[in-house]
Amino acid sequence: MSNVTTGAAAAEQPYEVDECRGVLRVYSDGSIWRSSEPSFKVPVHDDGSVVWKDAFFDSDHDLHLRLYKPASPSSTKLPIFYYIHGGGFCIGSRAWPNCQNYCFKLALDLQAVIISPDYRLAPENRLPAAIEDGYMAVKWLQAQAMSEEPDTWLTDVADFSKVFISGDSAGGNIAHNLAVRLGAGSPELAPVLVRGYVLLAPFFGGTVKSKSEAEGPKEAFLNWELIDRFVHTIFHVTITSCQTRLKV
Amino acid sequence: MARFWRLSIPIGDTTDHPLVNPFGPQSRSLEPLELDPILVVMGGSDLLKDRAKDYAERLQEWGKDIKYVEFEGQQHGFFTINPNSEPATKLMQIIKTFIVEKST
Repeated sequence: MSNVTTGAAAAEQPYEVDECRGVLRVYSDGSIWRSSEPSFKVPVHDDGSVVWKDAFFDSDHDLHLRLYKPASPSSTKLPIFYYIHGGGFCIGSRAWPNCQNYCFKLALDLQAVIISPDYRLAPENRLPAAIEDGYMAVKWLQAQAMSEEPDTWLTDVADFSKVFISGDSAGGNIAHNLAVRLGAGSPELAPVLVRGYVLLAPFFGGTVKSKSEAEGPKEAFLNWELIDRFVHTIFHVTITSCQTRLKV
Repeated sequence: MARFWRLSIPIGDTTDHPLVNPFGPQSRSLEPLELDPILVVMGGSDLLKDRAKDYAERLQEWGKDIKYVEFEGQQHGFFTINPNSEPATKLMQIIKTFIVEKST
């Protein structure tokens, strides 16, 4: 008898209302499940040509950033290049392999110190949390530049007067909002000087759809970071069914 | 895409939220702000392309130092999906040039 689910009991069971790439599930009762695994387990290409380490930048929210530098830097005055990961403000991490691999490449090819911060994710933390965390991640750099006990791992190679802030997708949105806040010459960050911003496929929105949003293939955005076609198919089906349910 | 916004925008707000839509009805004008130089990069097949292109063009019209680069046929995240591909390599060179130009 206990195996029989009545209609009333079934109605009380939380059901999935949103799902993001297998790593985030949101249920009808507001509960949230997150995977400890990244959504795409590509191999990490850590061949030693770039060295890296983590640092806390916001203990209130338990946020880390990951620092990368060439193992044999071409100069002792390398520019500093922020790379803020994407993930629709809902998923992603500095520690995901795709993010790490790109940071290795950036550090080596640009001959720069790369700073890749985490930020609080939605829906647990909706906007403006991510933007505030992005700001705290650059304030962290100012504190490093002004520290009386500097971290020589960073200060031996970094030029605090040549800082660039880039972001990918949702990270690009964060970079834009930092540009708005910091302004030319980033006076509130002195001696840190932000020289420019790089918005990589920035994630902006609006209630009026753009032409590419209205006419583009629906899977184009979902292809993002998708390497495995099989996984893509599964996700597309899941999302479609999810949208159907929400329309009811 | 709508799903990500639904989960991340403050409850009760829309995608015209000022942090989401730089040109929304409640967004403050970017015209008087000194927020450049900015390099905007887009895949030509990215659903977000038109919005980013519009962003770059509007800022350019206001005389800001904005460079817009579009990679024909490329999709969202092309440079992290295939970081050693030809377009990703070209992008790296463009970023490198941007850093050198703006560092002096």
